[in-house]
Amino acid sequence: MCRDFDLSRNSSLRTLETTAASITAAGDAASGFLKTVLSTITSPLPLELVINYEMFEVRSYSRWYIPLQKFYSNERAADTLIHQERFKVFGEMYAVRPFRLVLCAGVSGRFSQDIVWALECIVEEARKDENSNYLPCEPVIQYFAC
Amino acid sequence: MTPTLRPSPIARLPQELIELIISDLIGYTSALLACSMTCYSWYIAAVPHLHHTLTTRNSLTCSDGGKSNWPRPLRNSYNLGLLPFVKQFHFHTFCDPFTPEKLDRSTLHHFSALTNLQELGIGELRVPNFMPNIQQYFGHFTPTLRSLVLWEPVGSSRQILYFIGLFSKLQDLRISYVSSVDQREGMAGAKLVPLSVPPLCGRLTLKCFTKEKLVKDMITFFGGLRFRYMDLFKVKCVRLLLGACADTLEGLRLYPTDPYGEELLSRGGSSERTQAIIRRKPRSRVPGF
Repeated sequence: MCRDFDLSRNSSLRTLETTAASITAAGDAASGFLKTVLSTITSPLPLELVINYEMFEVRSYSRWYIPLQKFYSNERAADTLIHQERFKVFGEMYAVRPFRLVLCAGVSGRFSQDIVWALECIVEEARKDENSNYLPCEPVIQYFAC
Repeated sequence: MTPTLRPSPIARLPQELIELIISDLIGYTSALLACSMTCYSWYIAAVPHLHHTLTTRNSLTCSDGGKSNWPRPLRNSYNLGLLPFVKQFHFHTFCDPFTPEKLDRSTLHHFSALTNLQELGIGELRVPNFMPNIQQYFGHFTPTLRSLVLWEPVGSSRQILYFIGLFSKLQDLRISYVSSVDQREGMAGAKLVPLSVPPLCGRLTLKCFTKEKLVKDMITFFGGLRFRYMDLFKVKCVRLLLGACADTLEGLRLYPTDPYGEELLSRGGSSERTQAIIRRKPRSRVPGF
């Protein structure tokens, strides 16, 4: 299947996108799949890897969740593990082909600042994690109205 | 003494400034609605954004037991003279195919009032039922239509190709199926030739798509493909598509679970983001980025 995603002929490629949920759903296979696809890219252009998040995936990091954390500490711990795993995948991918990581979320207006704050927390946590292979290039955080 | 009512300074603002203020509120329906009720000039600025999208859908929560409310939204908007403001029109119903019966004489008249439509989305479009007069139903969208969304379209590859070819300025194409199986491929309309060659240079989104012949026909009749972005999930002819857009493809959305994992039909995409609000660029430590 990875052979189908051979990007060696796509000379203008500059963005590769996927969803955070699909990385988690694929489990151990995600890293192998994405690394194989990345290794086929021959485009000399700087590459952006865009990871799309849904609001529910970062809710335990949002500001309004802070007062509730003592009740939902298990959820936060589980989310932290998931995000650590994802950053591990990003690190492995970076070793194959350098890219700029873009963490992206679609939100309705009132949650826009909240999701940026949550994504910044996730990045900060990954940076502090000694076990994670943190990227040499700082991630970009962005959101779009939906 | 009779009190005199002084005109509001808001009414004296230049229209360009009002439009600038209103443009900051795009997507905030309640705010736009409030602005549209302040005065005539604010109404003029806000109303195109309020009626940008018209969607007709039936769902399990529909008040009349899941039946489609078609053509009520279209008729209501027509009666209020709002259809020229509509840029996106989505007819998305479940178990209620879009057939010529949906477009009787009066409804077709309302349908024709969508004079500035840029995106047309239709669920379960039965292309064979519209043949051979399909142009009479959809041809009036040709000058403005840039994006076509088809959920579960029914028809042979050549018939769907003919439908796509009606829109000579089409840039984005999205075809979604719920399942990869049961996309019956007949030979109907084997001699049909598309009426135009749309540029198709925007975004291609395919979900659970196995109609390889349609892709081959598009390459043949449209002289190749020029999409800049692709979003592919459970697509049978990935290699063919990537090869066809080898020189033009700038962005690709893929899924590590593809093709045998769970379906993750995500809404929207960052390449589709037309209203990106914020982009934080932290310090870069890698040259070139």
